Amino acid sequence: MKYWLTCQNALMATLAYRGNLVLNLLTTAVNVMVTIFMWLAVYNFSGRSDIAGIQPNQMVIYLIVVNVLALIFSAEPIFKFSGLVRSGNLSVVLMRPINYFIQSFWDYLGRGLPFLVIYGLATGFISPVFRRGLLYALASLLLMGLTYGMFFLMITAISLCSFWLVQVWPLRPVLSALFLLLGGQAFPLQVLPPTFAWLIYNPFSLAGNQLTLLLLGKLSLNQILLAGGWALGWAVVALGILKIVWPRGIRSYEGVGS
Amino acid sequence: MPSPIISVDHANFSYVTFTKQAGFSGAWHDLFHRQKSTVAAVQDVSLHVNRGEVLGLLGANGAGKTTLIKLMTGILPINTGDVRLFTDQVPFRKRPAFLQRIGVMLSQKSQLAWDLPPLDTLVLLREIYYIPHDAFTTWLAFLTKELAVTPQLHVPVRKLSLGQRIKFELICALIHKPEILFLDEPTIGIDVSSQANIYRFLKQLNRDTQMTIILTSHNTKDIEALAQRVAVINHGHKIFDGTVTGLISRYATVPLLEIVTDTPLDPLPTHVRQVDATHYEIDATALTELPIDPRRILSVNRHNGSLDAILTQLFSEEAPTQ
Repeated sequence: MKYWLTCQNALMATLAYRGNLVLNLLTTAVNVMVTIFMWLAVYNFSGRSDIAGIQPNQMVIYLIVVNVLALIFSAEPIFKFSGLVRSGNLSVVLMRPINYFIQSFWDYLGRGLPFLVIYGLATGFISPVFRRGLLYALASLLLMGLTYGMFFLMITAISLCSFWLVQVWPLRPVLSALFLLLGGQAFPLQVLPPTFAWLIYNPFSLAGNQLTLLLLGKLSLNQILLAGGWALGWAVVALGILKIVWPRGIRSYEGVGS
Repeated sequence: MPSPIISVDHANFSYVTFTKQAGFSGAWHDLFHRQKSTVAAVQDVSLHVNRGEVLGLLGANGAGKTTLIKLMTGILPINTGDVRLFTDQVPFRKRPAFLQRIGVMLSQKSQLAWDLPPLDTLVLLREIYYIPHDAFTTWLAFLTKELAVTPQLHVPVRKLSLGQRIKFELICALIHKPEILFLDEPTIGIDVSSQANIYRFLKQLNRDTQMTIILTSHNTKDIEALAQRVAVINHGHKIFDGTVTGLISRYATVPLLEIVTDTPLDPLPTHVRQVDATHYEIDATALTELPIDPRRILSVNRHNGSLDAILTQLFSEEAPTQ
């Protein structure tokens, strides 16, 4: 219940700034439009009806979905945690009989909830995911859950560098670029030469590219299981980093400010 | 004799900081050769607090009193020495059972969600501390009534005044009825009437529930109003541990009387120094009785008998003594 309340409070805090929410959606919409026009121009001038097996209308849907996913898989926990360490407000969190990571996860879920609902509705009503049999639907849900958990753990593991770095804002453009390039936000990774095929199993691609292809019904059951396996692997790596780094970080934490 | 609820034995804590040289050449030099220095924030401090005691920690800025609170609450780990609460709890381990028993209010750190009303944070705390709903409602109603913030329960935190926010921070620290309450600068930015209200409330709480209170403040009024015992921290060392009156009697060495009269004194009596029109100072060691007609005196204060004056004298000493 306490964690559910954390999620609820995070959602309310997101909705409290309606202007920011609308602006965020508008900015994303503009970015998507630019990318779509760019790709349509590529199709037009190349004279090809498909690129790497993707037709123009599929590309448009891909770009919309992957950008919604970019809103769900935000790197905000890094900057939130950095703020807590830098201001010393982490002290307040440490004084509560709660697991910080579980609370942070529910907070992350609450903040991303409006976009998760959009993705969920699109999956339920537009995507063929739930029309390919029970096993396929369950595997898809498992992949979504695993990827969401993995990405949160990965971002949280990165956030621990805040214990040693006073400013982590330089990471913001780096992470945006990673999601743009490795996550398939600017283009589907399938357009890359076969020698780069392994890139589709990086954490950003699992969160962006693979979940988009899942929604579009472009993943086979085997591909879903393989992606799920990679997501689980990355989650274990992130968990390992957390287990090792957190105790060291908490010892170096100075609780600055009175 | 019952064992103390807080035991600090020969605690030491130091941290590493970096010094920066001035100017561009200094910044360039620091880019490759950062100069580290170790600051000893707490040095060989021992302190024992019994259940139900109200202990005031006094010290100048950077003296180490807040660091001591952070060691006692487990925010920071001690380098050497030992800190235990409730006989066997090591604070830095932060066991949930331990955290359930302490309440912490750090005045410059907020528990409240900025964009939401205080009630939302308090309901979250109710779930975190597993407080039964009925008990929560009753206790919250009592706390908000006592601190006069009931109407503000539903107002977003960002719209509250500083005083109201601090009162809600105090409520957050008390909502689970902790056995030990740590208060760091609890009345900072609060008006006099609200301060008096908080003092009265905390005293009542201490009397009725035997809650142990550890309090740090620059405001000596806080300490005089609440603390049964004070520990003075200077440059990381504990230089005094005793009652407020004990502190005053130990350090008040040069008695000086401040006298305010209704009209100027003419002629000026001997041994009396005029500060302004109706304000005079007398060295009390030089006289056996006041050389001023008592009917003309509006107020008399022993100047160096105030805690403020003593602390000013103590903290201005460069070399601390143990």
